[in-house]
Amino acid sequence: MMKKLYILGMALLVASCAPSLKAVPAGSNYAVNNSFQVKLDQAWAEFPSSLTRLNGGKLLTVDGGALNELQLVGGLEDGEPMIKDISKERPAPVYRAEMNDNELAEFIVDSLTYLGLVNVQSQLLRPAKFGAKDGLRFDITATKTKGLILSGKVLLAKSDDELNIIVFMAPQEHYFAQLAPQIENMMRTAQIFQ
Amino acid sequence: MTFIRTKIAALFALLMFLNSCASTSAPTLSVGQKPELNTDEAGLWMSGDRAEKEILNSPLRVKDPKLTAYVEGLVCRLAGPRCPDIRVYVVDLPYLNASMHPNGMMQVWTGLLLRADNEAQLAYVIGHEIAHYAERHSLERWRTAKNNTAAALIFAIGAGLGGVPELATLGNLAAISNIFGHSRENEREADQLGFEMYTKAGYDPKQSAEIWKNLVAEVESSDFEKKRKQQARAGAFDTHPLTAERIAVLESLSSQASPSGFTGEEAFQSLMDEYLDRWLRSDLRRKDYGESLFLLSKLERQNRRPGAVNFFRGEVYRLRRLEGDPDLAKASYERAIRFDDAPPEAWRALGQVYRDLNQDGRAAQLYTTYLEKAPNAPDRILVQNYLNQTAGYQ
Repeated sequence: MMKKLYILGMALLVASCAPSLKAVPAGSNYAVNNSFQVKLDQAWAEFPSSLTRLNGGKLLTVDGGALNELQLVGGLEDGEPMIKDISKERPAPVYRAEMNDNELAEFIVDSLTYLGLVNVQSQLLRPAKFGAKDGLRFDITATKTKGLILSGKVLLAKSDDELNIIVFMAPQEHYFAQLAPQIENMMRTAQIFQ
Repeated sequence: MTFIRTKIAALFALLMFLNSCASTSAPTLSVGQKPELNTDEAGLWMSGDRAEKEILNSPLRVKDPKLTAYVEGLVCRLAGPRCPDIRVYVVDLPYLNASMHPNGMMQVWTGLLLRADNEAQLAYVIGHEIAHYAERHSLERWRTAKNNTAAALIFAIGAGLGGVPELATLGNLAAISNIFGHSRENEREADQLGFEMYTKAGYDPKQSAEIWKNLVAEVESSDFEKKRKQQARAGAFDTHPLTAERIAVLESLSSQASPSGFTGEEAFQSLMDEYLDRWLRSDLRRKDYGESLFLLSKLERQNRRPGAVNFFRGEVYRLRRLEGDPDLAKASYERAIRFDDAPPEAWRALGQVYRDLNQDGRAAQLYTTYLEKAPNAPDRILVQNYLNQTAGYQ
């Protein structure tokens, strides 16, 4: 009996240590690092920070990371990477406050490549509003390890030299189109905190 | 103390026994030979087959028919009757590496194609890999690891691959490459046999050492102290003999060989130059600007793609952002646009420089040329907006 209780206790202990996803209810105003917020039309799940390589950002999904993911990075300062470094000799791309629009798109493309995506391409760069701030919009395509093709939408803007980033990515087949309208709505609700 | 000594001696004897309990050597693989299904070698081949299926679907596999046909032709020239047993995959990764798996799958990374000066240098590396395959070095390595009860260590994926994020995209293939890192003895044998294969195919013996000399010089130019301190090695993995030792061996072999032979430089460079833009862009993502500048200077000395070389040198300075780099970037872009082979982005980059200098007239000229050269540019809307805004001021 004692042995069974011990095993049960150990199992509970292990389970309590395992990082788990946190529910983000539909209709939430979701804040990122006290930098900006977005309104989420539907329920999302937030990955624990230990399971993402985003540097201080938030990673959300609806159906699982392989099927759709929303990367939200707020208040990135000059010299900081969007993705955590994996090696001193192969550092992640870093944001610079003086980056122009093309360089900002290049920064996102290189950061996603650093995450392990292949053939990441930016398309249709265009001016856009990030709340009240002037920002940049573009679309992306990329390929995953085993050949799955992804589509994505990116919105970003600087605020006091800090960069705020929204990246949505999902497989081109079915999943991207399924969430694209909600992502457009969400991007329209983005507000940078003053 | 004596007791401890006795225990150590007993442990040593046990290790020696374990080490000797199975032979690790394997005879040369015959042409067309495949392992019996009930052998450890068959297991290795199956791992290779699984990895090969992955690479067939990998977005990193280069499918360009002209490039793959060229590399396949080179492999067949060296491998002779073994040619039908070998499948070659060009993999789009910016590091100097080639590898050969026991099932006959060969990988040639684009970083090697970018760094070889001529066909002979590429041929030497490929011949070396074919020698590993023919001598079944992976099987010997596997058996040694098993006998040393160090298999788990060999399977420690990531230890030898740290700092190469692109390898994550290769999945099991990266693990396989790590497993099949060869011993220094195997490397020396492959150097010798690869050299014989290479000279028999008619290549210039002296070129065999040149690619390693270039690698040493490139690593010495690295931005990273750790890389500079660590003597250059033959590939992404660290079981290869130190490059200085390899260079000495190859120079010695060259001095004893017939001095005649061909390099195949012109045809090689002409073909590789078609892919330089993509490979140099990938190389810049390594963020080792010292190594990139070394590579660009070497390409410049060879008079290769002056427009592209100058543009990417400008890109290095733009990305590096050290004091004085903006001026160096501007000068490089100015040189680049004098050549027809410069990518359209050279005009955009220089346009941005003039825009930052508030010279809108010159910037607009350059942006206009950019859009003429790249009408479907991804940033067309942004550039056109700028041109519209500045139209009245020109």
